Amino acid sequence: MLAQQLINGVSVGGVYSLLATGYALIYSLLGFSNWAHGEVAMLGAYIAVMSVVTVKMPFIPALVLAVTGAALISFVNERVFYRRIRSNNSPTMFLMIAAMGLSTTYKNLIVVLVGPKFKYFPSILTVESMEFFGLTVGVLDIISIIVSIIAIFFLDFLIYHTKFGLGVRACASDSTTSELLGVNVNRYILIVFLLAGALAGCAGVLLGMKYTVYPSLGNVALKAFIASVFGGLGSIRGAVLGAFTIGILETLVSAYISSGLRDLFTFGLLVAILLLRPEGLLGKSVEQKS
Amino acid sequence: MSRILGISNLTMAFGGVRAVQQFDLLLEEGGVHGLIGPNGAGKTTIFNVVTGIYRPQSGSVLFEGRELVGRRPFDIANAGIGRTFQNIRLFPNLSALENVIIAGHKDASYGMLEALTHLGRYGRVVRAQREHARELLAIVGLDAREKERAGSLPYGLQRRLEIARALAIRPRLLLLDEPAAGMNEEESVALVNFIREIRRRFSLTIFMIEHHMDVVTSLCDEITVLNFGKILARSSCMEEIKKNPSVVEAYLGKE
Amino acid sequence: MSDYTQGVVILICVNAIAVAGVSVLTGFTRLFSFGNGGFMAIGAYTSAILTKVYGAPLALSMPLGMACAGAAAWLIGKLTLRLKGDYFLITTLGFGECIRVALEYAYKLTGGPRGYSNIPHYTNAYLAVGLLIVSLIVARNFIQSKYGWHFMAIREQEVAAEAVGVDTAKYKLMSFVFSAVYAGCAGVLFAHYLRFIAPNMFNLEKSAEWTITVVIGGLGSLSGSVISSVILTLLPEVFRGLAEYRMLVYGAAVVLIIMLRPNGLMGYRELSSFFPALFRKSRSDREEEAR
Repeated sequence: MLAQQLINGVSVGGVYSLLATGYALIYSLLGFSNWAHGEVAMLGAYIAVMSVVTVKMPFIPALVLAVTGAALISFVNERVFYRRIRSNNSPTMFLMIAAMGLSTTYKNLIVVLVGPKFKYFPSILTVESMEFFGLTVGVLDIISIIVSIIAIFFLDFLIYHTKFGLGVRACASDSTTSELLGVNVNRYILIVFLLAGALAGCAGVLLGMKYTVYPSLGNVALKAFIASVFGGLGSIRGAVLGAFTIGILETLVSAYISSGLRDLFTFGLLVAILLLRPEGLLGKSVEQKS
Repeated sequence: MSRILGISNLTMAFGGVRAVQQFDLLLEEGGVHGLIGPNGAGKTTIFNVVTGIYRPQSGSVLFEGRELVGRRPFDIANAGIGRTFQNIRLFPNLSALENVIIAGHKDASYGMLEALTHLGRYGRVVRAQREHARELLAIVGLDAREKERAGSLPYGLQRRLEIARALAIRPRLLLLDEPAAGMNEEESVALVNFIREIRRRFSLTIFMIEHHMDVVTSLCDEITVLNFGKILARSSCMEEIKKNPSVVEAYLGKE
Repeated sequence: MSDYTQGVVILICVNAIAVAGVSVLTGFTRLFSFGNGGFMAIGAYTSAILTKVYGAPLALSMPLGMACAGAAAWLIGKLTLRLKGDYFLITTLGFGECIRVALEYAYKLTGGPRGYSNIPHYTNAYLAVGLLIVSLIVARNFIQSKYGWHFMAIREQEVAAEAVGVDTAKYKLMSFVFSAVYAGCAGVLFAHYLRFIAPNMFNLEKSAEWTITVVIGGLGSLSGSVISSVILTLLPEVFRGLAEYRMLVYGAAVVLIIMLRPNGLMGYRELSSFFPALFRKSRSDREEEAR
C-alpha cells in the first residue's frame, strides 16, 4: 500500500514540478509570483479537450496544439501585459495584482464562452493500469512521472549547461548589468515565458486526463506555487525538490491521516515555511532590512 | 561643551565586503563635522548605522551617553537624531505641509478615541500642529507652496523640504547627506548661511556628508576623510587635508 | 422596500464595509493582503455560533466577532509583518486558506464544508446602512488623524517614516488589525442576513476581489474604494444579464487600470475634493480655506 501511495505522490509531485518550475523561472527573472500561471495550464487543458472532443482531432496533435497554445498564451501575458506594466515603473506588487486580474479574467472567460460544466477526456489509453511487482499502477501516473522527469532534466540541462541558460541566470541575478553587457533581457524573458507556458500546458493536459477539465483547474497551481516557495522562490532546483516533497507528503497525509486534512497540511506548511525560513530550502533571505 | 555623539571601533560588513572598518568619531555639542571621501567610501553607510538602519558587526555608537546600536530607527529618531537622505526620500504624494506635520507627531497629544471621533482635543491639537509646520516651512522658504504635492516640487525645494521635515522632529543632532548636491555656487552660499542659521536657532549639532569642498570649508570645524571604509585623515584645517598625500591619491589616483 | 431590494442594499453595505477596511490597509498603508476573507469568516462564524448555540444577542456577538477577527489579525500580523511585501501577501494568502480549511475540518463546531445554517435573522437594510455610515465616518476620521498620517508615511517612504520617528512595525500591525475588524463586521452582517454561511464563501477569490476593488477605485482614496465597491456590487443587479460577466469585468478592469491608469479611478483624491460644496467642512478646514 505504501508503495502505491508513494507512486501516487510522485506522480502528483511530477505535475506540480511542471508548474512550480515555471513559477520559479518567472520569479527569478521578474521577482513576482505569476498568479496567472495556473490559468495557462487550464487553458492548455481546454484546448486539448476541445480539440479531441469537439473537433475530433487525434490525441497527439491535440496535445501539441495544447502545449503550443499554452506557451503562446503565456507569451502574450508577458508581451502585452506584464512588460507594459514594468515599463510604467509600477512597483512589483502591481504585477502580482495584474496577474490576479488576468487569472480571474481567464477563468471567467472560459465560464462565459464554454460553460462551467466539467469536460471529460475520452479514454485514450488502451491500457488503464499495469502490474508491477504486485502493485497496480495507473498508466497515466507512469506517463506523468516520465513526462515530468524528461521535462525536469531538459530544463536543468538548458538552464545550467547551455549558453542560453547562462543568459537566463545572468538576467535573474542582475538584469540591469546584463542589459548593459548586451544581453537582450526582454527576449530572454519572452523565451522563459514560452517555456514556462509549454510546461504548464503539459501539466494542464495531464491533470485534465487524470481528473476532469473545468474552469478552476488552475487552482491546483496554488499547490505548485507553495512547492516553489518551499524550495525557495526563484530556484528551479528548489521548485522541483519542493514539488515532489509536497506531492508525496500530501498524498501520504491524505491516505493515512485524513483526506480532509490534506489541504490544511499543505497550507499550514506554506505558513510554517514563511514564518520559519521564508527563503525556502534553496533561496535568498527575504526579511526587511529595518 | 559636552560630547553628543561618540562612535568607536565601528565595523560594518555586508556579506564578505567590509564597507566600514574601525571607524571612530567624537562630536562636540554645537559643532559641525564634515565627512568627505570618494563615492562608495562608506559615508552613507555610517549614517545608516548611526540611525539604526544597519546593525554593525562591532563597535558602539553613543548618543548623549546612551547606546544606539541595536535600537530601531524610529526609536533613534525620537531620541533626537534627524537626517536627510542622499536620494531625497520625501512622501511624494503628500503635500509639503503634510510631510512636515507627520514628522511633528510628538505634538499629536490626542488618543485613539479622539482620533476616531475627531472630538475633544483633536481639533485644537491639529491646528497647533499645522501652525508649527507652517513656521518650519517659512524658515525654508516653502510657506507659499505648502499645499503642493511634494513629489512635484522642483529639486532644490525638495531638498529644503527634507530639511524642514527633519527639523520637525526637534532633533539635537542633524545628519545631512549631501545637502548641496546639484546646487550651483549661488545656491551653495545660500545653503551655508541657512545651515549656520538653523544651527544657531535650534541649537543643533551637525554631521554632514558633502562633496562641495567650499561648503565643507565654510561650515565645518572638523573634517574626516573616508575611503574604502577607513579613515584616511582628520583635521580641523582643510588646507592640511588637501595636502595629505593619501587623500590626494584617493581622489586623483596615483601618479 | 421589497425583500429583493433589501438584499441588494445589505450586500452593498457588507462589501463596502469590508472594502473600506482593505482600503485603509492597502490604499493608505500599502500592505497587500489576500487573506482578509479569513477575517470575515471568523467574524461570521463567531457571531453565528454565539447567537445560534448560546442565544447571545447581536449586540454582544457582533463586537465579539469583530474582536476575534482583530485578535487573529494581531497574531498573524505580529508573526508576518516583518516579511517583505510580496512575501507578506503570500503569507496572508496562506493564513486565509488555513482558516477556510480549518473551518471545513472542524465540522462538529462549524458544520464543515456543507456550511452552517439557521443563523438567526438580525440584519435588515436599516442596520446595514447605519453600520456602513458609522464605519465610513470612523474610517475617514482614522485616516485624517495621526494614525492615518503614520499609515501614509509608511506607504510613501517607509525608510523616511522610521527616520521621522514612526514605529512602522506597530502601525502596520494597527492597520492590519483595523482591516480585519472591518472584515469581521462585514462577516457578522452577512451571516445574519443570509442565515447560512459556508467556508468557501470566504476564499481567496473574495479577498482578491476586495484588493482589486481598492486598486480600481484608487489607492489612497477611501471614497474611490467605496464607490467602486458599490458600483461593482450593483452592476450585475441593475443589468441582470451581466451577472455572469461580473467577475470577468472585474478581472479585465483591474488589468487595464494597472496598465493604463495605475492610480485607479480616484487615486489619492477623495470625493470631497471634487464636490467641495456638498461636504460639510470642519471648523479647522474652513479656516484653511480662508487663508
